[in-house]
Amino acid sequence: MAEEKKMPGALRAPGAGFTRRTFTLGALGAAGLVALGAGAKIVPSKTLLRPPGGQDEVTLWGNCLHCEKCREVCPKGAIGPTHLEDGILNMRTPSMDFKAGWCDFCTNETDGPQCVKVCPTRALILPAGAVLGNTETCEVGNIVLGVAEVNRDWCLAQRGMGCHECVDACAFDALELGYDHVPVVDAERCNGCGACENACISLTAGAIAPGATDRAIVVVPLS
Amino acid sequence: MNENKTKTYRLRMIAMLAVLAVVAVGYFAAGGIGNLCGIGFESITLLCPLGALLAMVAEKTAIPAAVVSVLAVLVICIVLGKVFCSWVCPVHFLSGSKRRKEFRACAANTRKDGEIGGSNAPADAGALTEQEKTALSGCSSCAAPCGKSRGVKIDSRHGILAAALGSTLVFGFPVFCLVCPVGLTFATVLLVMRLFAFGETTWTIIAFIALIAAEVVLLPRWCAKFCPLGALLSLMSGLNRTFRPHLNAEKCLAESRGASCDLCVRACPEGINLHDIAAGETTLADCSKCRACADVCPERAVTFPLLAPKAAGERAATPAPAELDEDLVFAEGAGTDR
Repeated sequence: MAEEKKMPGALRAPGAGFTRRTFTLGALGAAGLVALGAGAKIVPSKTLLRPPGGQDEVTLWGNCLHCEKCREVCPKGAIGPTHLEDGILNMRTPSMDFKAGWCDFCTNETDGPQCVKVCPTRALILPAGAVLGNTETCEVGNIVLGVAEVNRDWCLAQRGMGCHECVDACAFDALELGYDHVPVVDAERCNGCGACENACISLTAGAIAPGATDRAIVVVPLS
Repeated sequence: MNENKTKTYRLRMIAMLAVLAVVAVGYFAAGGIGNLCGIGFESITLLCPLGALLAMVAEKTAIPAAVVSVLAVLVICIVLGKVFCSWVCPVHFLSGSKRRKEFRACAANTRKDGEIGGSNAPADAGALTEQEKTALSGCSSCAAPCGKSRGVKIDSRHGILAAALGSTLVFGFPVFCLVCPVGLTFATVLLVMRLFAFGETTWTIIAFIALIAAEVVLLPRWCAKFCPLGALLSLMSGLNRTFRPHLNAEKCLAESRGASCDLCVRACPEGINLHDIAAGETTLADCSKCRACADVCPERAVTFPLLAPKAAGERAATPAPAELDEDLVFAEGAGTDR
């Protein structure tokens, strides 16, 4: 592909304008880019929690130019940068950071999710017929960022401490206390807004369960 | 003169740092300024023209903001040329420092030569000018014809630009953006800020810095040999006719008195030979208006007028219409073919 395109270039600028060295560097660089593209596709990348409208990862990878605008405008500060550890393709794309904030789908903004609004390349774009979660009316919507999962070993309620922070935080009635007072997720009503993960205190000082490496309730991507 | 030289360099450095500072403040403000991959307020965004093209190639659809951005950059390039490279791009400064040092060393030597040539000139001015004229009538540095003096010289950068577009078409995502040193610089700024603000540690910072260092330090002359963004801007700047460097042949030591002065040629980070554009690595389309040539010239023979004076004749003349059209077609082809 690259070589084809290079040939007219070589013909157009004869003599000192296009030396063997120039050609070698160009060919090396071109080959490097093709290898990088193939490599990035082959190396598996983690499925991540995306801002609303970013659920189609292929579109997100194709269109995201890493301008960081969505992260900046998020009123809840819930969008974080993605690191190399999450896969080469995901590098610098937006992902949800529910430790820092949670997504209320910009219920109180008049023009919908701000991240979708500012995205210049439509990498974040709501599909036709999208219904957003509404924290005021408890409507769940059909834009699902992920689903919450409770780790009973790390949950304070499991240890009889009577904690129900996550249940109180949930705006969509997707959490309730089970028979043993440990929160249970209603997967039908959970849209992965992350309010529960954001509210969970299981990793704060004095509340840490032995061996816990994450909060007791976390939102995971849909499989 | 020395003061003047550092003046433009400092001015450029300030301009670049100002953009960097605005972006850095924007990272932690809610204004949504973005970075050089896409910069602006709210929903008005000027996208990186290469990124915009790649995103459209990846999706095989026209994205309104991307089309507008490419056209806006085209207008900027027509009016100001490749100014982005030397006035805004942080990578230009990173890769320039090495070259500047080696250049300074030889600048001192050549300046001496230039002065000697200048003082000797009046004695045998006639003979030297004749010699010089015959020497300059052909190509001064090589016997064979060596490329064009107008339009855009296609080099390795343009090959990489084509590869960037091609690989994006094949793999469906902007491949070059992953390794773009400009984007990575801004990403590193963000990660370093988050490291200090939130104590967020990640290997990514080290990886990004290593990648930028590899591209800028290990590769021979990133900007001149590899950068596809520079290649795209040079194609767009093929139409630029304003603020082009103009060599005043009467003042120039080499042209008027035959001194062996090539300070402006060595100073040019873009590889332009103002004495004989055909002999240079690139043409005036690649001029990033950094004013290094103007600042280094002992006779102040290089100026950047709004429009080159007509008397300049063949040196800074406007290209023949046919060649102009050819360039236009090529620039458009690179933009829309893929």
